[in-house]
Amino acid sequence: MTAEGLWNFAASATTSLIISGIGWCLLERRANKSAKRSETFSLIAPSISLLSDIQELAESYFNAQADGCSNLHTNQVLEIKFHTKFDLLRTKFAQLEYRDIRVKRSQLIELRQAYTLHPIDSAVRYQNALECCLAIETELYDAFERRHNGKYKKST
Amino acid sequence: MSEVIMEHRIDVATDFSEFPFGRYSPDDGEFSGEVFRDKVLKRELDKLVEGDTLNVDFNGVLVGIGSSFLSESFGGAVSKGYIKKDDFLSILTITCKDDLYEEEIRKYIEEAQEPNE
Repeated sequence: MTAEGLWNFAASATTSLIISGIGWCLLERRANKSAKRSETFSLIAPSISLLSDIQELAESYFNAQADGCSNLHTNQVLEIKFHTKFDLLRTKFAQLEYRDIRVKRSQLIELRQAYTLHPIDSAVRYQNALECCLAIETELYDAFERRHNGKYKKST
Repeated sequence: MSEVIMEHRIDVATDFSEFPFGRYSPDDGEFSGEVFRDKVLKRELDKLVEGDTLNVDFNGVLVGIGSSFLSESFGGAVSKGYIKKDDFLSILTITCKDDLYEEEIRKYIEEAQEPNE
């Protein structure tokens, strides 16, 4: 083999190696991105489910008030259920924060207030409780989109 | 001789109840925000002298604390005239694993109407 042949062989081998290296990096990066995306979504799904449970609690609160069967015992049971779900929700949110998915603290306070500041004894308060849940749900999906669908800019 | 500056402390679970609930008594049971404010919080507020601070510890509370309890206790202390809003905000510290409570309590104090307002 001549020197020119050797040179050509080495050049084409290097080019092939570089191209396959770039391809491998791109695939790896895509796989990582996809894995992170599905990990994050696997935390969002139970959070949404907890928010649905909390929405159902609002209905129980409201029905108990409307049926006139609201008493100290019922109210305490409903509030304990709310706090338990709320604490669980905050644990999920703490895990999501590590993945740059954040819910505003003011929204969490508003949610607690909607359920425990006054009894849910009117359609307006019932609607407010549902809206607080929906606002957090929307915020979660928006944050997920920003983080994983290209609209995300790392905060400084 | 100068007076000793003290940190007064209320441990809600031991000094009041492990399950504080609701706004008014008797409707919301015997451990409501109203009772906490009038029987426990006021007693400590009355002891305060210049430079003292007050720490309220919620860590021993078993379940979460409802907003009605917090609003009636802390906002209510201002609206009942037990302490001035600015003084309360400067002397009060909250101990709680959940830091949302401190933010919420400060909000109730800030929003409370003083009797002469």
